Amino acid sequence: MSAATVDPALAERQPDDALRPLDRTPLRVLRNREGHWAWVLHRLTGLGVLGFLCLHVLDTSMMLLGEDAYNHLIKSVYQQWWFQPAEIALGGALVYHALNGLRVIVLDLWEDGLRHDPLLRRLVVWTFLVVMIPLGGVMLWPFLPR
Amino acid sequence: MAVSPALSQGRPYRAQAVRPAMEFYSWYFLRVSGLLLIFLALGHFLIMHAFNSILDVDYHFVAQRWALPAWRIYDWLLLVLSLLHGFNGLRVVVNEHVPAGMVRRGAQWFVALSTIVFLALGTYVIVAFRTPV
Repeated sequence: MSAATVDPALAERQPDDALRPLDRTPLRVLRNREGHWAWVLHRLTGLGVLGFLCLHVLDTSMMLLGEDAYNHLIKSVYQQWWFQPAEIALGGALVYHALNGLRVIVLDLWEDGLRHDPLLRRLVVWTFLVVMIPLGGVMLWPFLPR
Repeated sequence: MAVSPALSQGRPYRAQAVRPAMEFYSWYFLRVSGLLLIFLALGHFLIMHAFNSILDVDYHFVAQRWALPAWRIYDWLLLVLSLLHGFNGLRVVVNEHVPAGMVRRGAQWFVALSTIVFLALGTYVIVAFRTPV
């Protein structure tokens, strides 16, 4: 397994840590690296999207129960104004996970990748903002009072 | 060197709970499916939230989409790849964060069963839905 798939902070593990199972690694060696935050966010957004995906399979299965059941659910949750922040957060989680996933693939394939990781991380953040600011605006537009 | 208790009792000795070859395929699959999902998942999100508004989405909207087999295939591919990608990721998280033993075994079973249940339910919904005439 390549370096990029493992939290970079783990590189700080002492030689005798190799004998120690990963789940016994003390938290303090997992701190203080920018790459660590990218890794934490990748896990959290991945778990968040997976959680929503399971809900989404369940809500879509209402299609089999007929028009009223499905529309009732969509109207009382997904189309409510208070649900929109969650929708935008879902979009943000997807976009971040996609961009950082691309970064991980680049680090895996490019031998010199780790040296350019600061640039890659900046690219992830800026692309995220360039995508999410207009997307958030477009998603909120129909809900703005007029 | 002391013989491992497992060996001395004649049980098959397993140094690791994970098989390296399987971990390689898992690693490979996460990347390939991830690349495909960039188009499938982000495409799906943009169709529902940018090109259309969530206020347009209702039973008729979905029924109209599923009248075309191409959209059912798109949705089914998205369903299978995202579930396998997501639950494979969760499997890695479980192996790294849950202490070895009964709890991890339980969590691994939970992940495996959830994958099967959601794959089966999602596939059934996409295949069994009948477009109203």
